[in-house]
Amino acid sequence: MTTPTSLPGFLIGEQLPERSEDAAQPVESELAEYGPNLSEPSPAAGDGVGKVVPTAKANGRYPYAADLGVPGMLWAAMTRSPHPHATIVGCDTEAAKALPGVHAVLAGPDLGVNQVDYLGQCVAIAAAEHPAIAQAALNAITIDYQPQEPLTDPRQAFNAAPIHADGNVAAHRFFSTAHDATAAQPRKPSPSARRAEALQGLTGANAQAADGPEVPPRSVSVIHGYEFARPADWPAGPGTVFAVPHGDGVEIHTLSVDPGRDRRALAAALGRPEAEIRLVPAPFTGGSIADDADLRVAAALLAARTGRPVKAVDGSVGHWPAGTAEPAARVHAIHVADQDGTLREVRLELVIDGGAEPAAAEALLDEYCRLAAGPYRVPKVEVQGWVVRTHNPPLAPWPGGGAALAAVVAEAQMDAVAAELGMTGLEVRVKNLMRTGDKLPDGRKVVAADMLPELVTAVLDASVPPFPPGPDVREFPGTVGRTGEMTRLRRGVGVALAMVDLVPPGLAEELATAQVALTSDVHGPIAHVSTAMVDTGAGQHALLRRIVREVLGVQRVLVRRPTAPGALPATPLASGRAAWLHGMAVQRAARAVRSQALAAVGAELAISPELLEVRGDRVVSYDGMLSRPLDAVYRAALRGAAVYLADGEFRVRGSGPAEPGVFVPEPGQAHVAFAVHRAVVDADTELGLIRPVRVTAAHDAGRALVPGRIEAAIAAGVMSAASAVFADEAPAARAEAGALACAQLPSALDLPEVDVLPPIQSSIGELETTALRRRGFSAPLPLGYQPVGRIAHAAAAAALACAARDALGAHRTAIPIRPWETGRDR
Amino acid sequence: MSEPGLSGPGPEDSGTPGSAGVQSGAVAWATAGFELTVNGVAQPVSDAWIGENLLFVLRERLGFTAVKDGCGEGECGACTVLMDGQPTAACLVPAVAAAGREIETPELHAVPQPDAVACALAAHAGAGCGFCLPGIGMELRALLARNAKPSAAAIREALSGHRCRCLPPERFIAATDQAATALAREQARVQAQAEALTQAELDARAQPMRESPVLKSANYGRVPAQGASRSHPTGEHEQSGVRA
Repeated sequence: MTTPTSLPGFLIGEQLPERSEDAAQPVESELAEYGPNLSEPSPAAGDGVGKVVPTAKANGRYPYAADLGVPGMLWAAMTRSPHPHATIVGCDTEAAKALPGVHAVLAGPDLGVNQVDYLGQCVAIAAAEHPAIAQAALNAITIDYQPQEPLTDPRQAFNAAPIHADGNVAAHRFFSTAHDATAAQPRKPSPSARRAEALQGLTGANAQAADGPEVPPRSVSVIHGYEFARPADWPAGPGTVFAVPHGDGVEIHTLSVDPGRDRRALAAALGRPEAEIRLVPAPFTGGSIADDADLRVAAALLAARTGRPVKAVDGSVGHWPAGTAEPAARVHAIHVADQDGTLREVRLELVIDGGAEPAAAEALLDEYCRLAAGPYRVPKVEVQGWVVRTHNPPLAPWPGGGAALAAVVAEAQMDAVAAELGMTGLEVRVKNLMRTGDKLPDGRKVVAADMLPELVTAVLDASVPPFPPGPDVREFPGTVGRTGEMTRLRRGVGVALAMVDLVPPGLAEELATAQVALTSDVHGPIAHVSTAMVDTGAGQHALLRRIVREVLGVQRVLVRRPTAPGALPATPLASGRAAWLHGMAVQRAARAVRSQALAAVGAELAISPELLEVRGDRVVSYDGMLSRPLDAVYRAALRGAAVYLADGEFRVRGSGPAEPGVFVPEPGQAHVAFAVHRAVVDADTELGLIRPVRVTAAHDAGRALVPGRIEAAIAAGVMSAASAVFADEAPAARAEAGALACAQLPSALDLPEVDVLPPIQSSIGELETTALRRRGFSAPLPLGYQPVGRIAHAAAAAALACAARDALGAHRTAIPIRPWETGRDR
Repeated sequence: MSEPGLSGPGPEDSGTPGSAGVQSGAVAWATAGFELTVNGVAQPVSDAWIGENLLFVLRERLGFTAVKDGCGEGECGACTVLMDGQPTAACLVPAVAAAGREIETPELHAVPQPDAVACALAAHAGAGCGFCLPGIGMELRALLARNAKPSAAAIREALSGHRCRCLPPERFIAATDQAATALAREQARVQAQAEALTQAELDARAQPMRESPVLKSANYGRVPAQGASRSHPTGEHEQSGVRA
């Protein structure tokens, strides 16, 4: 067991330079002893993770929060409500407190919970000297519930009595690009007629709407209702929280991607000043692991109450009660197309079940509505959606976000249109492909869509695995056990396009700051970077080091956390934007440092130091006419104990006036990233077996600073998509057992192989911007930012679903796809 | 880590899980003392609650934190250890039942230098979160011990009890191939050394037995694999026992 420190060793271990011959090894590397001498070159050499951290992971020495512990610590346990809606009438904790070894029991009113608002709400916590005693204490608590009628069907939320002072509809969006609409204006919420129409559509899914949109003859309309199951909450054993009382405050060790945000939330939940809470992010990258805010609060409360360190392991058995069978999102889609396959009109309606805390789902709704029609040219799009409040558990972060929802629905509809017209799905997609300047449903113009044809052809050119599979049965659908029969095998292929909105207009200002110092020691120049960005073990700090190396030409770069929690302010950053904002802040700070350090040589060359840059081992003027050797320049500039220090910050806003230092997209313009995936799926339709074989991914990766990271991010996106599309959970079974045993996630035998095509880099660097524009590429965002992992999830989910439909020969509209169910629409 | 006031006077004779109940309120708190053999070293455990699983005892009482607690229900494979050479989910084994069994944890293969499997996993699967890697490493060591050159499908089958959601199976297949190559090379090196040492002894030694080609064709009469990369059901059986 390791005693926690505020600066765990892994951070230092990561500071090792990528090329060891270039620099002296930092002596303080705690993890260096685990570093192997790999005899063979690593294929993941470019992923920025290095060798020390992966070896520590493979040996089990990587310091996760779950591995922390001190003698005399207590174990926390938590009870979740078995009722979706109830009043807590009485609460007896005396018997629990009397148990030997129990140090604290808090239940119901002690936690400020007098009313249960959702299934699985935390109603009691206990701390004891052994996890089994903590559990026994919870079992000894008597809580008297007075169950009330719950609202669990999101479709009933519109007409039901309000279950909250804010009403049942938490958010509404309406976008239309109808001919008469000049600009997309969000309409006032709750238009009763539209709501009724939406409900009618949702309940009578797939029925040919009698009062559908008026269309000229000789066109087809395809109407389907899609249902998305609640994203599975992974049992987060790795999401352990370790809380240590620390003077007046409490120190929390847990996985956290955004410590600033989590610290603020924790302070609010505990009702204590932020200064008293110290959040030490522990490494973890598992993208699908939703960190549990309840667990953090419980551990912090118990540590503060008992004055002893508390460990809270998020056991999954009996953790969440039976999940709800209600789909978390329903989409009703109408696509109208001409006989030749040209799309004329798209109408979409969406209801998201936000559960008891629907505010978090608003971003999901917004993203869906803005991307709803997919990367296709559609003259008329009408999208509207609602987030409603119910007594279901709060929606876990949706994997892939609204972009994934939009891609799955849009691509399914494209295939349905093609089937209706007797065309291939590819034909219809290519015919309607979005071009630069086309409008999104919200009326914004897409800045660049020129790489789309290139991506589509790249995917089509890639090889397809041989069919039939085998001879090994483990390559057949169903693999070992119930194996598919050769004569019944069908292969399905699905091509899907997906897009992600990089800077949505509703984005509140996001800020990241960094500090860079350039100095020298006996081994030569060295740069120190101070950043609030967390390296979860996926090489985030390698990205920052790469940026600093590029700007300063210094091989040795040390990345460290800010000394004080508030030293480098940063706002909460949305998923996928952290690397961009922190990277830009570091780049700006490094450039400022470079200007300071090159001031003398600038004066010598009679050129402003801002116009000098480092290329290779020389300092070069912007036009390449003047140059000096970098070594000599730094030796002169860093003589003595010279330190050059600069701060950098980067802000992003979705809309508003343009200001220096803030990235704001031009009004009415949308920066969109694209990906095209092709999935190949084999199925045995009689046995209802399905096996994804291969996913081929073509991405516009913007600028690949650390190429291996991009490949890993795409692969992770495909893996999570395969889990989302093919994982099934039987709601009834889940009531009885833990979450994972019933989730039926695809195993290693059923996961597709991922073929990542060399990503198109639409943004090589800022200098080449003009040349790229001439080639038809977009005006790149600073640093060539693209959220690769999110878009990979969206594209892969859509492609896998399309391929599964193709293989099964049925237009399945429920996600996850249950191949053994019969019928056309389930 | 002790539970003052809770542990009963558990019998200290190791190996025999005795119990002494302390009836305290609603819980019957029975403890046991026993001895586990972890990585070849005897590890006495005293005053452990009899309900503790092997995972808890290894991690929290003995400090073998390379055995990860992923799900606690035998689904994720993060807690895989080798029990008498067999990969076993430590969260499903009562600790007292593991007394007298040979237990191997990832720590054994980390010192003094990481072994071939750990190096290969680090090289190919280091980009993920890494929580599943120690367990996968134990699974792969067991696989390579019974099959020196496993096919891609055999590797996938071995990994099907491990939930990795960061990286696709190819990465682990590549890692296993690299580890298998490294082990084979190591074996060849050791053999060459032995040969050089005493030529005469080598002459005296009996040649290793070859598998009967008749037996092989009788068991696996199917069509051979169509491509070099295609997997092959006979592969692992042909090679089995090479590294025994």
